Amino acid sequence: MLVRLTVLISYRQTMSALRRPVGVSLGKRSAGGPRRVLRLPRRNRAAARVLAVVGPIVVALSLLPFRSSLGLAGVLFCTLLAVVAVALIGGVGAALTAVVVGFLAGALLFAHPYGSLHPDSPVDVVALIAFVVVGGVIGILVDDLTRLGEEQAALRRVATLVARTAPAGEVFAAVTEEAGQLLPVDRTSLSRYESDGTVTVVASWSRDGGHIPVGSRTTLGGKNLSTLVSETSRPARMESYADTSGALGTVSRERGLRSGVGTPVIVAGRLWGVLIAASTSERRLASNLEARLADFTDIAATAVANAENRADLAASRARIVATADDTRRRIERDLHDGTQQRLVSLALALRAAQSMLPPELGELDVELSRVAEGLTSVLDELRETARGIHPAILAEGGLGPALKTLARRSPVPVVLDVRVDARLPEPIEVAAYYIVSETLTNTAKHAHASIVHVGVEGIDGVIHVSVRDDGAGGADSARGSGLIGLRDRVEALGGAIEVESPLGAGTSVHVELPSAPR
Amino acid sequence: MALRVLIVDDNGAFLDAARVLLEREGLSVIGVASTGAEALRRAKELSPDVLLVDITLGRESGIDLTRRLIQDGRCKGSPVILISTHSEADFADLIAASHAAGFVPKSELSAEAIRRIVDGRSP
Repeated sequence: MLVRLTVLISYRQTMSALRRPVGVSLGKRSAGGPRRVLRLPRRNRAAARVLAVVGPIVVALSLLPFRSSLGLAGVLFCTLLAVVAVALIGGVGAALTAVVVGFLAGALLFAHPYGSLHPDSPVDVVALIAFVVVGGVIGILVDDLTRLGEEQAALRRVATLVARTAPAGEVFAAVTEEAGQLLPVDRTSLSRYESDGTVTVVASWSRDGGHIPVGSRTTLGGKNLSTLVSETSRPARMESYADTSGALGTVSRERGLRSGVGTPVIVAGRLWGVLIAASTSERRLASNLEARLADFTDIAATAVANAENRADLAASRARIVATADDTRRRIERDLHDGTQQRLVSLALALRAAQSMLPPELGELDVELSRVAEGLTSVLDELRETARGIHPAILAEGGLGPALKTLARRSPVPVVLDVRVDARLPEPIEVAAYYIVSETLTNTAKHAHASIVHVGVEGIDGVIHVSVRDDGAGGADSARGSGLIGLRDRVEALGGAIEVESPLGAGTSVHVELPSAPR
Repeated sequence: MALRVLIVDDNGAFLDAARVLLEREGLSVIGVASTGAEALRRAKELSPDVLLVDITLGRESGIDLTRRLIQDGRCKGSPVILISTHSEADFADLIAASHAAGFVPKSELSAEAIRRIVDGRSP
């Protein structure tokens, strides 16, 4: 179990809005588990404004006893620290407010009769102007750095999901949520373009909870962001949804959207989908929204490419296994229909010829009998070879009879419990057969077991195959080509295999296979 | 009177060799069939004393065919003997479930083996 602690840094809604702590993740989860994020309550906008006003005054007042030694420049310099703090919490707008307050506080504290500030003194004027300029610049820089840090943190969180090959749906949800939390928008959605001219929502996020249902499918066409992006494969912007048209335009207006930006998700050079960030308010969209959104579409594209690569790899493995099985089946069938039948026919013809021998050719009769016996022996060997290549009983009788045959042939007594009556898809039957066959072989060779329990049952569309012995244990599934081959076969079908073999406590192999292989 | 035999197998060379051998050993092979449909038809036409059915008839199942022959009365009570190059042990459960009178490995096919099963089945 992986315990993960994630602190989400505050985000900024607009240049003048407050910093809001998005939340703290105290999710205790496994590597493949869903992302669980506990959000802290957001600070209200007034708090940052209060700090912007109170902060510089408090700093200035606390430095009052040192006024004569620090001088105006020293006090203003210390006030810059308050400006930095306000910029971190409230952004550039709050920082500028703090600069103005700091300017006024400094001017008042040092004005006659409390101080020596004189409007005609070039040093004092320069100090005040420098304070305003430096404070403003610091506010802007801190704001930009913070925003950059937030963006990088958000992108890193999504990228981490991609790197640990989280399910595509989880990555998509994270993309829309992180982009929505970070950018000055109210709703985000990620949609996939379908080959039939529709677009399907694969993830969505909303600041007010009114997000678009995942899986909803709408026809492209008209004037709207999804259609514009699909036609151009380039980012698109609509400052007003008033003149949108088409089914998507209607849906957007009905959901209260007023403006938005869409960026294409390009996977391996082809347009896969679109990430849309939209606003429900009248405020103007940020000018750099497309660029900031594009960072998220790049990660989404990587997630899609990874998922497609994994699917291609799995399909490739499945094809390799299926091709190998087909080849083995064909060789067994060729042996049965060709070589074995010809040898049998020759053996029968030989015996027919033998039956015509006159009694005086007794020696020849003995010789022919020896040849006939040799032919029968060859046939027996060939039958064993053919069975090893592919078990004919599996195709003829299905999994139950085939496993009974394995149990009968096992040198270690087998308790067989097969609770699957109907025939299963051939790849599943073949996989289950080889799992039991290979495990029984290993048990006989290495386990020193007195009994093996073999069970097969179907539960909710999953076929469970278990083989458990009471032997010595200590089997290493990472070693031994047999178990590795089984793992490849099982995973190629979209299943999972688990081997437990504690020393001295027997070996247990449990496999889950989808009853409908991918 | 010689036992009248119908052989059902999809391999022509085997049918020829089996016919020659069994007739030399005193049986009468009154017909052969290479598919399930042909076997059902010929069983009804010829009313053989015994039917030899290969377990694997190309893409058809000789075991399913045996079940049909027995269940729908086409063989009129005549015994059906399964034959195969496969091992009897591998197919033991299916052979038992088919209601066939017995099993003979193809390589050990003989009039004597057939008579033994038929006689063993007689009351």
